[in-house]
This record gives sequence, structure tokens and C-alpha cells, in this order.
Amino acid sequence: MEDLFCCEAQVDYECRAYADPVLLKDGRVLHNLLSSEERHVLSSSYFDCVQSELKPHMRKIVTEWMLEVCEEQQCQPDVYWLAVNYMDRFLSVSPITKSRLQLLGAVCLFLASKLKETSPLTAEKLVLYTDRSINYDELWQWELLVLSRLKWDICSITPHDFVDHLMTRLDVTNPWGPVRRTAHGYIALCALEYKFAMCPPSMIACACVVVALRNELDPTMSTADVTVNDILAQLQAITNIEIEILRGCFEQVDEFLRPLAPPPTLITSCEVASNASLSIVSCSTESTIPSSSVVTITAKNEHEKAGTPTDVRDIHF
Amino acid sequence: MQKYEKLEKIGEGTYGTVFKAKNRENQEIVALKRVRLDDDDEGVPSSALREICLLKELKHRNIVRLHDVLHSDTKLTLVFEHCDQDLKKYFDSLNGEIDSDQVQSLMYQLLRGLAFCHSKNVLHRDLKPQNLLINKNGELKLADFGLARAFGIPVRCYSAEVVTLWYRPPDVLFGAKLYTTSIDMWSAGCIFAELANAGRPLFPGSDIDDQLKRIFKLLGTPNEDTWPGISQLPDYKPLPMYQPTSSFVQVVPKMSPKGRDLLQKLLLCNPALRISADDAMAHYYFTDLPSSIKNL
Repeated sequence: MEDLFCCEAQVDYECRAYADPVLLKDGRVLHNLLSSEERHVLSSSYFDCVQSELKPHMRKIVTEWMLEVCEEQQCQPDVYWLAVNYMDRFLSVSPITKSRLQLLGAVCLFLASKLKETSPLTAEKLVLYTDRSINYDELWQWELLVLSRLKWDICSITPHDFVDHLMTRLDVTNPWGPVRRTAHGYIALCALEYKFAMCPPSMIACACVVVALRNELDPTMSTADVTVNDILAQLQAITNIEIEILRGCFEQVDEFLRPLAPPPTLITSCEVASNASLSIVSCSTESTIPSSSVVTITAKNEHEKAGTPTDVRDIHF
Repeated sequence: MQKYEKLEKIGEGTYGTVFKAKNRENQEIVALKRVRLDDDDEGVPSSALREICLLKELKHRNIVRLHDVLHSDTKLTLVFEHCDQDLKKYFDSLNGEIDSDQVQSLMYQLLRGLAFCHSKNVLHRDLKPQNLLINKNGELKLADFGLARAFGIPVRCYSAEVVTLWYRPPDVLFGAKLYTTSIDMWSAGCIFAELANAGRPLFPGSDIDDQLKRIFKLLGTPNEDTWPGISQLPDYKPLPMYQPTSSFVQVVPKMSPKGRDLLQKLLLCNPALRISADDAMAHYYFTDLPSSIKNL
């Protein structure tokens, strides 16, 4: 748990050293991202119309478990969002029993990690993380199942893809500074919340960037503050998303993040910043939901017996 | 696999055997890339995954078309448009002679394919003659997207698989895990020179040190002045200070001065200075490009 998203520090170094003007300054790239992002967004809630046994709190548990695996294995930031996106998209077309949910989560991590990492998560590690509640054959069979249900369409656009585009276009003093990292951390947390799976990634990215910028300037600033308005107006010009929609999303994200990630107020240098981003994610494990909920589910669901190496009971939800 | 009739084996790709085949329904000739799933503990190979999902997005005349993906429990078959040969085999057929119009046409198509990838936020990152396909009409297609979208780039060999260093830019050789378009532009430069020399590779290094020395002997050894930040790269090591070769004439004797100017803009050690695919397409080397190729 100490190393939560530590990789980001390194990623940031590389990216800052080589901010690629060909990708970032060329309006077509952002335009292409915006025009194709909708394809991978959920259009309606699968709890209402597809799944009969699954309930939102089960998604919460499995996404928290997935986040933990990503943190422990120091996955690239977008691996987690991608995996959750695959899971949601699969669940919106295929009803499953709750006993298969952790298997699905593991398969989605397996796929997202293969897509993004040089040394992807191994099948062995994933099986261990489920405390052997899944086996290799299931993992491989479900890998093909998920791929075919998703029509092999696994290059989803994530909010992470937008952060650099937004930061380079916003009028901010240090686009490669701590705010960027903080925004990436916030985005990861947003994947925990089901309702955000129905938002376009660009909107989540905008909201997380605004929260990160606001928190760096003054966490007590209200959502109606002039500075916030100014940032929103800039984002509106960049993305062509209506300002009131942006504001609505920002307010929801802000409200969602508050209990999970208290604003890092003391960011002054990159080192502090990377610690801040660690705490952002580690804060997710100290949220205020009563721990009993996890324990009861754990008792109920065979697959949630998980007892992952980090131990679900340590999370204190 | 009733839908396709296998005709002959074309070769071994990075992660599977490639066959020429015929679609029984419409007689179309295709290339089948077969990936066995049972001899790998890790399920679908990551390079196959990346290639499939990216090629589904990248529909362009200079990018190989993926028609279909078929899978069973034990194997995965990717159905590609068929091209007659790759650039490496094409070189072998040249006997050391290539028409300068052909160089210009192929280079333009390579840049156009790259510009399209880059506008879609995709970096190829493994450009080399074996990954460029040419069909009967002289059309060039980018293929083998197995490394695109991954974060790191394997420079050293992690397995028995040989990763060629010849087309890798100095920043990558120094360990930069960069995620920028400039990596493809360097490779395009190496391929441009190789095209002009009818298949003689520009920097055929045998290991990382040799690769870097070959590059720096031509371009001069970079330093913090010419390339700020170079000494901070993860695998940076000081190398002999070579002076840049004053002229590219000896390197690409048959290339026109316009072509050499473009080549020099592609082969810049500092990745931040390398020309982009769009700007390269607009370079004056291409002003006399026949409109038939521009519209190919």
C-alpha cells in the first residue's frame, strides 16, 4: 500500500521531458478523442435491465479490489480505468451470477494490463490475488468470452487520455506540475463510482482537472467561485462541452471525492506532490463507510472470501 | 476454418504463423495470422491484443486492413488483407537498384500512414522494413502494431525473440520510455535512407553500444547543448565525442539534395527537434510528387 501509483512519478518524469507537441498541439488528436469517446461509455444502467443478481454495492467491492491490485502492482494509471470500463461494458450485455464477478474483474485487469504494460500482470498473480477462488482455465476461457462480448474493442478512450490535452491548453502556470498527477489520481477514484461510468471520459477528465486545480489554489473555494468559473469557461472552449454540463459533472465529482481524497493543501514540490498523489489513492482505503458492509458481503459471497494478500478487511469501508 | 482455404505458408510473424488463404465465399485472397493459445500460459498474447483492437480503429489506405478475428479455445486467427511482399523482400528483389520516383512514392505513403496513426493517438513504435507491406500496385501499408499503445518499448531481448535495434532512435537506446511520435519519425528516417540505398540498412548495429556509435559517427555525439536532458536519461552513458559528418552525400549518394534535407530533419538525435509526419509530407522533397500517388 506504500507504493500506490508510485509509477506515476516516473511516468510524469518521462512525459514532462517529452511533452509531445505533435500529439498535444494538433487539434485533430483531441478532436478524434472527443468524437470517438462515446462508443465506450455505458448508455444505461445494467442493474436495471441486464443483471438480476448483481447489485451496485457488489460492483463497488470488486472495483475496490481491482484498485488495490493495480496499486500493489504499480500498474500504469489507465490500466485501472480500462479494466473497470471492460467490466461495465461486459455487464451491460451479459448477465452473470455474483459468484463470477471477481473472475470478471480479474479477467478485465488481465486484459487492460496486457494492453498497456510492458510486463503485464501474470495469470499467476491474478489467481493469487483472488486467493485462488478462480483458476487458470476460467481466466483463459473468460478472457476470450470478454473479448468476444466486447467485440475485441478494448482500446477504450479513458479520462487519462484527456488530461495532458486539457493541461496544455489551459492557462495554468505549470501544466506538468503536481496538478496533473493529482488529476490522474482523482480519475482512478472516479472509476469506483458507478454513475461516472455513464459520463463521457472527457467530462470526468475536465471535472478531475478542475478539482485538482481548485484544491491546489484553495480547497475551500466554492464551486461558484470566479476562478472555478474561469477554468470551466476555458474547458468549455477547449472541449465544446456546455459549461453547465461541465459544472454539473464537476460538482458531482467534487462531492464524490471529498470524503475519499481530502484536498492536498501543501503541494509545493514534485516530491511532495507524488506523496500527495499516494495519499489521494490511499485515502480511498480510509473512507468512512462502515466496515461491517464488507464483512457481511465477504461472508455471503463465496468469491469474496477472496482474502487478497492485502486483506479486504484492512480497507475499512 | 471452413470459410478460408489455406494456400501456402507466408512466414512466421512476431507471434504466430502467417498463411496465404482464399475466402471461399468471395474468392478474395487474404493473409491469415494464426496464434496458438495453448502453448502460452498467459492467454491471448499482448501483441495480438493490441494489434487487433488498434487495427479495428485504424482504417486507412496505408495501414493493413484487419478483416476479421476468429477464435476457438486453442487458437486465434487474424484475417488480414493480403499484400504481396514486405519491404525487406522487396529490397531483396531489387539487386541494388531502385528508381528515385519509387523511393519518393513509398516514403510519402509511409509518412501518410504514420500521420494518420499519430492523429489517432497511436504510435507504431516498431517500424522496420519487415513491418511495411507492399502490394502489386505499389501501395505501401503499415503492419504489425504489436508494440503500439504499450507503455515501454523492449530494447533488450526479454525472451529468445530478437528485437532489432537498427530503427530505434538514440533516446530509446538511452532508455527513455517515451510516449511520443518522434520515435516513429526516426525509424521513418532510417527507412528513407535504406530505400534510397535500395535496401542497405543505414545503422545496422549489433548491440546497443554499437548502434549508438554508428548513429553518432554520422550525426555527431549529442551533448547537453544540442540535446538538453540527454544525461538524465535512464541508460545514458557517455560515448566517444564524434564530430558530425559534414554531408549526407556519402551516406545516400543517389538521393537528391531535397531528399537529403528531409532525411536530416528526420534523423535528429534530439527527439524534440525531429520533424513530424505532417510536416514531412509538406516538405519540398514531395512538391513534384505525381498527383496519382497523392491520391493513391
